[in-house]
Amino acid sequence: MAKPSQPDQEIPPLWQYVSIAEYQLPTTPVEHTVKQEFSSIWRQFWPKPKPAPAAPLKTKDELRTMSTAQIEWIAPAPNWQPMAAALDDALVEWLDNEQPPQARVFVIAPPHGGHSDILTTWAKNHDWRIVSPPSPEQILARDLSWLDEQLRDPSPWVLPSLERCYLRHARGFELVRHLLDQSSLLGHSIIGCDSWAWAFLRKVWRGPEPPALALQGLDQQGLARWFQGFITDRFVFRQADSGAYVLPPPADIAEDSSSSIKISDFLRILAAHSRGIPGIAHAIWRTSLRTTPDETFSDTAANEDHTNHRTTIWVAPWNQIKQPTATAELLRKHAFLLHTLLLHNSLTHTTLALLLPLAASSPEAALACLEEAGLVIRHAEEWRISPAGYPIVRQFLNDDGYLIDVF
Amino acid sequence: MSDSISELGSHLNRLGETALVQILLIIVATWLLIALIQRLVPSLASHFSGHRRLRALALVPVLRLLVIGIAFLLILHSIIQPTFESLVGVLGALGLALGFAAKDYASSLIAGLVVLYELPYRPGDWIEVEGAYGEVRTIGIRTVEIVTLGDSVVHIPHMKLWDHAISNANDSSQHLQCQADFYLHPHHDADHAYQMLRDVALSSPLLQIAQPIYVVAKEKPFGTHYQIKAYPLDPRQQLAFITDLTIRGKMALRAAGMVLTSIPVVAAEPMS
Repeated sequence: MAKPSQPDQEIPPLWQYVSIAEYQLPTTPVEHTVKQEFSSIWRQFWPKPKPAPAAPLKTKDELRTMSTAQIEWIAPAPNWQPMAAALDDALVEWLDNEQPPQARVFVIAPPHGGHSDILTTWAKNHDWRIVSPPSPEQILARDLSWLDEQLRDPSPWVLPSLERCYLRHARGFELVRHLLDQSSLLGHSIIGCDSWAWAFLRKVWRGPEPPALALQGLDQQGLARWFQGFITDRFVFRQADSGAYVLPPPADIAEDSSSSIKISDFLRILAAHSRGIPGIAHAIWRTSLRTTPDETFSDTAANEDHTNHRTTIWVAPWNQIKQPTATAELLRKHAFLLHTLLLHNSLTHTTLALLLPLAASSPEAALACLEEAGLVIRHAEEWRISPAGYPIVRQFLNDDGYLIDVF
Repeated sequence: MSDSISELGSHLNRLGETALVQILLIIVATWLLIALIQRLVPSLASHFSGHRRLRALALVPVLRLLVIGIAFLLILHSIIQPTFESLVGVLGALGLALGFAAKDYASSLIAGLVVLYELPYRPGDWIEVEGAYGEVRTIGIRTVEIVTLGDSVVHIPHMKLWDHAISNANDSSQHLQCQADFYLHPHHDADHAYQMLRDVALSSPLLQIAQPIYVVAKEKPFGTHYQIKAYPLDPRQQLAFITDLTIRGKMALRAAGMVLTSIPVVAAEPMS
């Protein structure tokens, strides 16, 4: 397996796969860390954060949240192709070698890291077989026929979601152990896994540590490049309270006013808060975008910079972005449920009920509370931790001694 | 010695009303401050869990000793000029009084000081002394207050430290081993049962997975006795953890067709 080749240009590639040991978290601004620690202790006693006094450039009343269509235009759903191409770069030698020392490669990603979508895209690009996970019933029945079916076909394969091949249940480990034991014998394969499930499976499965790659998280510059890639330079992004530029302004603006230009710290805070995870940063970015009521985007006469005829998108200051209303009491009460969801990435409430302790085995009411608090979301009957809730939940579980991931 | 006692006597004679009021105020302020510490710190600690909670609780006896120490020095200062001789006189008289009048009380007070140094138990620890098992809630001057699993409060004098074994289940950490017992009919696949019980422990959401899991098997005349020994995430969850392991274990063993066994119980015939 090769490390991604470094191009001659100075700017590193936006998307890059690295080994787990080389993975780096974005740095947190000291001021933000102090504020966050203080607010974490504050929230233990007084759930609602104090409103920050400020004299903003644009008040809350002057701005409105964007419509779904506008958000889809300014910050559309991620395109997985560039990430899949980055995986190509990382695997170039491994793919060329017909009998590599390690026949399988693991791709690990934190929640909302998009590993399943990236690997599915990659497999389609390369025409590799995509292995669907077994059903919960097959897992609990320890039905090895699912595994036998995979063994029959010698073609290279991709399993995008290993986390869907086990359940944290006394009968939920056998199938995944067999899969992990035998997958190295099944020819070229790429196995994607959620980082929380992977941390747990390393306790359940006693096999040797296999080679694993992770998509390097995005720092401030990475996020700026990614978000800028969504739009043309007709838009400028400025922080609503200070007017500072959130994304680097176009070259002509920068040249005109280089001495007085203010760059916002928003993306640096966002990168640190989201731990560089693309899906989380992207979701929070979408919720932070604001526009003036008369803005239609087609009507550039309104709300535009006078000299350059550009549309200004206002970004809410960090302390005005809606965060989940999670008290320590709520988190403590439902910690098992939140941890169980993270270990499986997502679950239906029926499967979740099988995994929780007996006293908490009717999770509907708990899920409703957590959904209202903004900590969990439902998608196609499956519940998972929300992007905005993930940093809070992870911090809480870490403080309380739960098994957490490495990202 | 007689000089220092007479010096002390002359000091006491000189004590005016002002000094008495001063001493009274110091005692009241000390009492209030200690009461505040004993209420406020545990109340603050209850907002946290894990290590943060234990650290906060451990502050109580130390703060209290500090307050008492300062109060003692202030009182001493208001009664006498603390020269070496007068100090020896006061302490000697105090020692005699305590030694004769309240030996056990004094023994507990001294043991209370030893507790702060040797730390055989701290707030948040789960200890067992003479059959009483519970979580240390408060370390008082004379007694340690524990809350049992049955929610009873038990006060144990510190003097038990001198001549009784004190069992500390978690020793100021979050790691407290629990065990769940299973009795199987002797004719079964022991290897399968072992692996299954290990998986039972792994499947419990209450498990502290960073700690080891042990499955112990012992042959008994009526069957095979299995024990899962594992650690809950929080010592306060020990009953819930044992219950969860027991329920999951029984379900898994039954589902695998293994027969749970017990010593036959024969009901006695009613007396006519």
